[in-house]
Amino acid sequence: MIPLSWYLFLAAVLFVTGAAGVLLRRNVLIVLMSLELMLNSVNINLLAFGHAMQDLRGQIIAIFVIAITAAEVAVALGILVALLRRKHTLEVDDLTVLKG
Amino acid sequence: MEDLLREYLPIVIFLGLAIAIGLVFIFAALIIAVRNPDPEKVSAYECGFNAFDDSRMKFDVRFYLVSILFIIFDLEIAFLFPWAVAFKDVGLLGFWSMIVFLGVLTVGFAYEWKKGALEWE
Amino acid sequence: MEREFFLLLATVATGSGFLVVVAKDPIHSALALVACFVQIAALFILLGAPFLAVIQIFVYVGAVMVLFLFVIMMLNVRQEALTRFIPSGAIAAFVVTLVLAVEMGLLLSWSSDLHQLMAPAAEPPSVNALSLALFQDYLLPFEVASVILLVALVGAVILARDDEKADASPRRALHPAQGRVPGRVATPDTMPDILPDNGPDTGREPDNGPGTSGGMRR
Repeated sequence: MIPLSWYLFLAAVLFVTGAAGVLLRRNVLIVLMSLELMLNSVNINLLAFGHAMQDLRGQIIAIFVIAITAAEVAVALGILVALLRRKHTLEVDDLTVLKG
Repeated sequence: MEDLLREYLPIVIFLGLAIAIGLVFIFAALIIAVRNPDPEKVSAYECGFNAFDDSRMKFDVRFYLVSILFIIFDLEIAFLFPWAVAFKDVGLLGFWSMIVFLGVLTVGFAYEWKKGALEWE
Repeated sequence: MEREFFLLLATVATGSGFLVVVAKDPIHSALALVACFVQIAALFILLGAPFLAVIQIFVYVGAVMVLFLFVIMMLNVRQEALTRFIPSGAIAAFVVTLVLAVEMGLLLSWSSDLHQLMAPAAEPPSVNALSLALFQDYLLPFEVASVILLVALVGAVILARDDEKADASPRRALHPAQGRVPGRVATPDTMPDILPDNGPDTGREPDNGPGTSGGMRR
């Protein structure tokens, strides 16, 4: 049997790795992928607690998180593509002006 | 839990074998193959004449649109699965709430159809 | 047996997660993320949520990562032009990440309730039970999720529109026989590569194949 803290440690490690990717990488696509990693670590956390407390709500909230994350990725990549049509650069340092 | 894991054992064996065979192919080629590169051997084959340009086409934006539409409708299907499993138990209320869900997404489908996002040529 | 599986899956997930952040080529990063998602799906099975594992593979690996790969291929970028990590403010970001890691580690080690072994479920909750909970207790979030998906759909179609062509053409009044607003969805001509010196395409013929500007022009 596996203690709950092992799952939470794994989720924390993945979360910190994703956060490091978001803060440190220059390519905006890799920033978005690290964001996906963070959201998956949150899902692991939800399911681990749901399993430990024998509660179904962990799974239900995780389903909604997955659905909303996928919709958010679609819109985020759409914004990115529309923005890069004008700017032609993929570096986050250059995408600093709000006006597209 | 042991029973649950035992049900997934064939998948694990399958994945393990697939990875092992793939790795054997890659490393056997790396180790055993004779390697004598030559500019003529390595260049792209262009039906007899020398290649004069990069042959890649610009990536079509229609593929990107299709995959965006696929994400949204994939999520709709993901919500349809549990509804289909418990169809009898959710009763009439569950049926109509799923019809409302599908109706909202059909509005989106009609919108993208009229906007021409589904045209291929 | 469960412990060995968990350790194997956790190790590969951590390794591939690290590879996502560190890889130079975005394609390598995307493939490492796919591997990470597959490990996480297997972990979901260990946590007694087989339906969520299938949804994870189905939605994340099958749809989201494919979309990422398409966008990476579309925004084709010269690799040597980009440095990997942000030079400005890297020290601050590194310190913040370190503080986050240390804080999470300490909080998890100090809390006493979390170190108990999880009791194995009598049986993991079935998809039937999950579905009943979804359609009876969580009906409102479910309907709101449909609205979110609708907004994402409309947003994605609008954002893929070709605004330059819509601005260039003279705005006609909406003719009653036409059903459409003058504005076209993007065609391949208007999606440039990010290469700084993209000359005219010499390899394309004017009137055949999907490389031409046939497409969503209405």
